[in-house]
Amino acid sequence: MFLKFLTPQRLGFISLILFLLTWHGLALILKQSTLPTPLIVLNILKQQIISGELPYHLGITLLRLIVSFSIAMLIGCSIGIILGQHQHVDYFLDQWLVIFLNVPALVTIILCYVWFGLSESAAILAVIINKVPNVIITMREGTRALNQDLLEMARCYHFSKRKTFLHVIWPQLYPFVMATTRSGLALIWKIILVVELLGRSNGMGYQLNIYFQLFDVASILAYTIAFIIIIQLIEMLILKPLDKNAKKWRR
Amino acid sequence: MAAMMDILINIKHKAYRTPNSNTENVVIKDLKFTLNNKEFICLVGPSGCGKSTLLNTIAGLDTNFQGKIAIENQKTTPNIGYVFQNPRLLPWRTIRENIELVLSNTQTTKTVDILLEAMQLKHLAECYPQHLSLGMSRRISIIRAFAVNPDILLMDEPFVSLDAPNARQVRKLLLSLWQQRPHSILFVTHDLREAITLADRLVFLSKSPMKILSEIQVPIAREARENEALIENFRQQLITNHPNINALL
Repeated sequence: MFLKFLTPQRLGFISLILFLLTWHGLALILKQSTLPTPLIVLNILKQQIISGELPYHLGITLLRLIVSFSIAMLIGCSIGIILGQHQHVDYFLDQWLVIFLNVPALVTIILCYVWFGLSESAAILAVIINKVPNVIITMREGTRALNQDLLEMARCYHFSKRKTFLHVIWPQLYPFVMATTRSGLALIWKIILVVELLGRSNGMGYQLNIYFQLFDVASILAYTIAFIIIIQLIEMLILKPLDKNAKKWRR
Repeated sequence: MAAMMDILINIKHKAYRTPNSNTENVVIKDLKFTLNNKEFICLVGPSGCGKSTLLNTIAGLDTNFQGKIAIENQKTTPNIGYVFQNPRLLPWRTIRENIELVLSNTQTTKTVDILLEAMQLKHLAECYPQHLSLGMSRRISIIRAFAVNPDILLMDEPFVSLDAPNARQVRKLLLSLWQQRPHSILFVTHDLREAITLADRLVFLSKSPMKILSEIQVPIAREARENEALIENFRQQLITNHPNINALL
C-alpha cells in the first residue's frame, strides 16, 4: 500500500527534499544573486567550515549562549520558586516582573551597552535580563501547581528537606524546567545575535551584519543552515533524552 | 520503644475560613478523648464530618486549631504511619522506592520485602504507581505506613476501594501486625461491622461541627472476632440501644 510506505520518517524526508527542490527551482527561475541555489550555499558552508571562520564565530556565539542561559536559568528558577511559595513576595515583585517582561529586548540591549560599555559582560547581562522574567513566570506556575497532598505525606513521614526536594518537588518541577529550557534556548538564540550585531566584534551576529553590508546572501544562508543544525543537535542529543528519561513512569 | 504513651486529644475549636466571604465553617467543637497506649480505636461517623481533619491535626499536618494534642511520656517525636484516604504515592518512584523513602536510616530494607510478600505484591515492586489499580495503590500505602514501625497508626478509611476478599485479607494482616508489634491505632470508617471487627473501643462522632456522641468498648474477645454472628449481634444491640448512632449510619 502507498499509505503504508509513508512512515513518519519518510514523510519528513520527502517534505525536506520538496523544500530544497522548490528553493532550487525558484533560484533557477529568478536568476538573482540575492537568491543563490542550495548547492552554492552548501559550497560556501563547506568553505567557511574549512577556513575555520564559521566554527570560530559559531563557537563564540554558542559559548555566550551557554553562559547566559545557565545564569538566567539559575536566577530565574530560584526567584520563580520563591515567588511560587511566598504569596506576599509575589504580590510585591509582580509589578517589577510585568515591567521587565514588557521592556523590548532591543531596549534592554541598548541600555546595557550605553550604561556598561560595549563589553562582553554587558552583552551577557543584556541576554540574561531578557530571559530571566520568562523563567520566573514558568517556574512560579510550576511551584504553585505543586501537589499539596504529596508534600503533606512527606512532612508526615519526616522527609528531610533534601529528600523532599529530590523526590517530591523536583520531579514535579522538571516538566516546567524543560519547557522553560526549550523556550529559553529559542529566545536566547535570537536575542544573542542582535546583541552581537550591535556591540560585539565577533560571533554570528557580527558576521551576519558584515554579510548584510556586502549583500552576500549565500554566506548569510550558509550561517543560517549551520545555526539550524546546531539547534537540532541540541534538541536531539540533549533535550530529547532528558524528556524520555523523565517520562518513563507515565502510563 | 516507649513503654507508655497515651495521646490526649483535646480540640476546642477548629474552623475553616471560606475563601471569599469572611464566615467561619466550624468543623470540630469541643472534642476530647484519649487514645490509650497500644489501643485500637475506630472512629465512626458520617462522611464529611471532619474525621480527616482530626487525623491531620493528630499527625501534626494541621496546627491551625485551638486546643492541644498531647503525647504523654514520650521524649522523641513519635513515628506516625498515616494511611491517607487517597494513596498519595509518588508517581515518579517505583513501588519499592516509595516504601523505602519513608524508612529511617537505621531501618533495613528487608522489612519492605516481608511486607510486600505478606500483601502478595512483591512482583510489583519495580512498577510505577500509575500502572497499578487503585486497590493495589491503597495496599502499597498501607505497607508504607506499616514500614515505619509506627507508634501511632492513623488510617483514614483505608479499605474503601478494596473488594471484599482483599479487604478481609488486609484487615487480617493489619491485626496480626498490630498484635506482633502493638501500637496505637486510630482507624476512621463508616462501616460499623468493620469497626466492631477491629476495634478495642468505638468512638462515635456527630455531623459537623464534630463532637463525640458516645464511646463504647467492644466486649467481644479478640479470638472471637472471626465469628460474624457475634459481630452482627453486637451491631444490632448497638443500634437498638443507641438510637443516635443509628441516625449516623
